[in-house]
Amino acid sequence: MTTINIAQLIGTPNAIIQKFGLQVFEETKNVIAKGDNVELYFGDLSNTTTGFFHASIGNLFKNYGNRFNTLITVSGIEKKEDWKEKFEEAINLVENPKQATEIDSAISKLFE
Amino acid sequence: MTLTFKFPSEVRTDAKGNQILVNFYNYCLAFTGCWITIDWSGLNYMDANLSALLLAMTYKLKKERDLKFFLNYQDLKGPLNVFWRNGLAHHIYKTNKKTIDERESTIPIKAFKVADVDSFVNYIEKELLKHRGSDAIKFSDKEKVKNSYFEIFNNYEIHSKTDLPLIACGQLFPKQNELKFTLVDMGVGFLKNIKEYTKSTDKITDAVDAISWAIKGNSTKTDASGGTGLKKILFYCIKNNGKFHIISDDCYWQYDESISHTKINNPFIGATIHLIFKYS
Repeated sequence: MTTINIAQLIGTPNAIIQKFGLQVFEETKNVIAKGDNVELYFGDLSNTTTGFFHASIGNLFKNYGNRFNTLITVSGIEKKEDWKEKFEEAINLVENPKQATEIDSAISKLFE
Repeated sequence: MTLTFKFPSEVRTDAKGNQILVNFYNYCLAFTGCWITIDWSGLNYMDANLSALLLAMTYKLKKERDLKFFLNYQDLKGPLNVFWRNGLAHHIYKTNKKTIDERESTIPIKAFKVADVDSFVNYIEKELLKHRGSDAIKFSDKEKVKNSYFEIFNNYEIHSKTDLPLIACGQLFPKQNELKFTLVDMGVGFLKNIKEYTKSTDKITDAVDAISWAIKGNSTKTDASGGTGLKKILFYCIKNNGKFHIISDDCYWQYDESISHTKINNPFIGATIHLIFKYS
């Protein structure tokens, strides 16, 4: 198991842009390609965005599908309340891209 | 010849205020290599957060038209003193002085490049959310407000396709428990990318439809899923009496309890986003 400390990898505790998510995606793929599993460590981050999670976790889930959970584990994600939510949203969006959420329903009403 | 653009008595964070600033920009575009007076002698009030848009305009005009701007010191008195305190006047006069706001109601004007991630985060966390004037905002709301700005910064990094900076400025209204904050990018705007991306699907061809398409959670990104940032901000505004204005191409799109839009004549470039949060 190789641990990727995300803050160290991207060089900042502020994982707020997509580019950083793509860095995590590429580095994780490289490690897995060498036959190892990956632990993604979020604990040294201070800030994240949905864009970061879509580019990292969303892309990894799209790439590995059902193997995602055996190849990749995450830690330190409980540091902030909404990180787990963003993590799950990134996976859900790949699994069910058309699934309407509470947010979609509220926004649709505005356009009626 | 003295060139002067006279501002009206009020400029607020709305479609009318935006058109006034756009008219100023278009007036200046007709000239090169000269001085233009920004005449505020008849201006009684302007929302200070609009400094971000005014600075973006003067930055571009200086850079591309070699224009210089003059503001009369006498006009920066009374309610317009805020433009000293938030730093706009220092930028216009190039005083290089650090902004000092003894009343602590302004969030100073500042420009960021795409690579300035830590500097932007520091600005939002220190200048905005640790500001004495924002003490009344609950921690959970501060986290949501902060995340909203970071989502917009991410959009700027992905979509604006420009080397020109992102400019930010805010104003707290403690009596109204209101925070107005503006981010201006000088990139390609919403329509260009979305028109290209949807040419064989939704066939979006105007700015109103482009902004609506983006706000509903669609995205032109090809290297990741996504597009949920803007709709999350809108949802937060729906739940918390916030207001969300997006100005891009010829559309002033706004959520202010309901959605409306206004056409802009001869618009400015890029995208301007105003977020107005109420807190209790």
